[in-house]
Amino acid sequence: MSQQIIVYIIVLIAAVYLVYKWKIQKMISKKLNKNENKEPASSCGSGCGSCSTPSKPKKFS
Amino acid sequence: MSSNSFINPRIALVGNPNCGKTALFNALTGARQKVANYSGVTVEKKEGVFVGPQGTKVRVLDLPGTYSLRARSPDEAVTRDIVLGKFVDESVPDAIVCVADATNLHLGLRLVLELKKVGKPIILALNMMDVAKKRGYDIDLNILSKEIGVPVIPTIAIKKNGINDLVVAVEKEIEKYSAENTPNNNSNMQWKEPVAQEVRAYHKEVERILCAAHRKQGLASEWTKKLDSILLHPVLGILTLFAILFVVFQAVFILPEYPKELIETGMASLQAWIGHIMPDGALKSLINDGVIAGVGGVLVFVPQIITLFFFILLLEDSGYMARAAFLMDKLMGGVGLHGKAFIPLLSSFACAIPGIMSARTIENKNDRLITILIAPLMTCSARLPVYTLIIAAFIPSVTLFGFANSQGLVMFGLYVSGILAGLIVAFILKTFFLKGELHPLLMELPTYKLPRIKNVALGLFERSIIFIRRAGTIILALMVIIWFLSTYPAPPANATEPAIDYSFAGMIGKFFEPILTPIGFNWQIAIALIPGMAAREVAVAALGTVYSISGNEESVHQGLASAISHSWGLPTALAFLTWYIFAPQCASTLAVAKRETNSWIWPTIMFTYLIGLAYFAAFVVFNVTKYFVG
Repeated sequence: MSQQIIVYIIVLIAAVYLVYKWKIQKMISKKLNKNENKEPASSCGSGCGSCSTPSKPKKFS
Repeated sequence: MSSNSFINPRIALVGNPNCGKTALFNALTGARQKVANYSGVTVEKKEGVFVGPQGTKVRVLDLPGTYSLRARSPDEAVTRDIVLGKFVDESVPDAIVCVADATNLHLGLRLVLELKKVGKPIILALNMMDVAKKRGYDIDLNILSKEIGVPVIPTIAIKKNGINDLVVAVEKEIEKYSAENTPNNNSNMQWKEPVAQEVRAYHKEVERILCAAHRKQGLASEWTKKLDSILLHPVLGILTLFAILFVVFQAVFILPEYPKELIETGMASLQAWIGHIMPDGALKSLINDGVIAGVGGVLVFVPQIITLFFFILLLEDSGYMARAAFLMDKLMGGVGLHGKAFIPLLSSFACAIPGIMSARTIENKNDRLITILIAPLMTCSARLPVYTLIIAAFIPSVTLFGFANSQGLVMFGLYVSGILAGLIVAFILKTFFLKGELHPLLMELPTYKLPRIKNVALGLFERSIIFIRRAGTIILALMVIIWFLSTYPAPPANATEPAIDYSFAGMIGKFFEPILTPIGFNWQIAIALIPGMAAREVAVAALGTVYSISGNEESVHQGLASAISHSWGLPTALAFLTWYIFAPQCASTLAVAKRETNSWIWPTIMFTYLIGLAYFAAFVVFNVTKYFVG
């Protein structure tokens, strides 16, 4: 019975994660892009995710 | 900084294609954007930040390469619009860093003269100084700076040389400019599209400046000349290109054999260990049949993905890619494809998404549309797990002609089939639907360079991380759902069929089975194809989970390849491979096609023709094979 409960929780988390990933995250990033489109992109935006931009600025001395 | 200094100034990196803008962007911002030794790698603006020695937070824009602000293609239009402040929600940058290849100064200086008309501070970064020195190029930088009227900073971006000087110069120029102008009163824009006479005047002025700065012309790379005499030869060049592709696909099958077996053994041991320590129940089944069989089934292919990308990165870094485009121009022109389509199509072998985006380098709209529509036919790396699984299950590994591995040959054939299909579709589109003139290919061939170990290693590391992260997030979540759908509801007490037949997945699979039966697919394949619409490799994970739940103990322990070789016939296997050559099983590709064409019409056409082609080809292959094999 305890295995069943853990399994249901895991399945629920997986379902919520997928909904977040495909729907909610898109909505959030769309909204952020609209409001602050001059902020640095977290990735190259090409969709394959192969390029990254650091979140912290590089410092020169 | 002065009191009226601009808050968070923005600088744009502008320069000719393949002069090292992105390498400079990475050195300035600490980013790891893709760099390669051919033009057209950057096709959209990228943004990063650095903080200068005086504490100025400077935002840096990396822009696609261009020879002039008279944009001819969508990628050049991005650069023009950013520089001129026409880009949506983007004002004119506060300064421009014009990056020029020190071995090809003429075109770089011509662009500087044009950029000066924008009326913003300009700093000239003379990049690739090491290569220029080695080849005997020389110029007096002080005179050059005085004559052209902008600070000149020598840099070697890939070695991060001269970056500090450049940062200091940027801060100084912005401070100087902001002291003379307020943010609301800084428009000195004089740029207008130059007419032919002005372009000629620019060239004359560049000649004068180079002469005044005692420009010493260097020699072309001897290595490049010697290699090109073979690699660009009309016959030897084509033969070498095919030999390279052949070696790559052989290597993809042969080299990763040992690490692949190691991962397979590791996964099997993990399953056995969990089977031993956990009591029977739903959680044990979820871990063993859902997570390990599904996600583990995809992770097994990491060594092959790494091998493929190793060769792609070597070819990109060496400068061979542009040569391959040059060699293929005649063949591609024969079917109506523009020569510039080669790089987007070649990029599509890694992933169709950057491939479709690279089509921005093509000026003509119809040519660009054709390239976008056929890009998904090039075999992307996500198909590799599917191809490898089926080939390993049905094609015996034997050595043919004394040197060729049979499985590698079949893989090579699948890649060639995708290319041929792309060429045929392009020919049909160009002849009947997207007619237009053929435009000649004009491109600069970069000099050959030895691939940089750090660049290749970093590229491989990032590719592996992306694949593993995907397996550990989306694929893992999908496999949990598929396991749930394949396990529940539980079979009735008097059930005579395997439990999965009574599950939600069984019902869904059997609902779609009649549509797929003519092409030889069973209901297990139908289940795998549905999540596989999100991404191709998910189908392998889904098959792993479905066969782990429905298969017998013995075949499951021998691996997924063994399980499907027991339940599929050769006609089904070949039809499945054929389906995967054509089927548009990647939602992201369709989304990018929509973004790039700014319409739902073209992605709909893409989806319809690809799914139609996949069904038709799989139907033919299944029935013909069945006729011969029985």
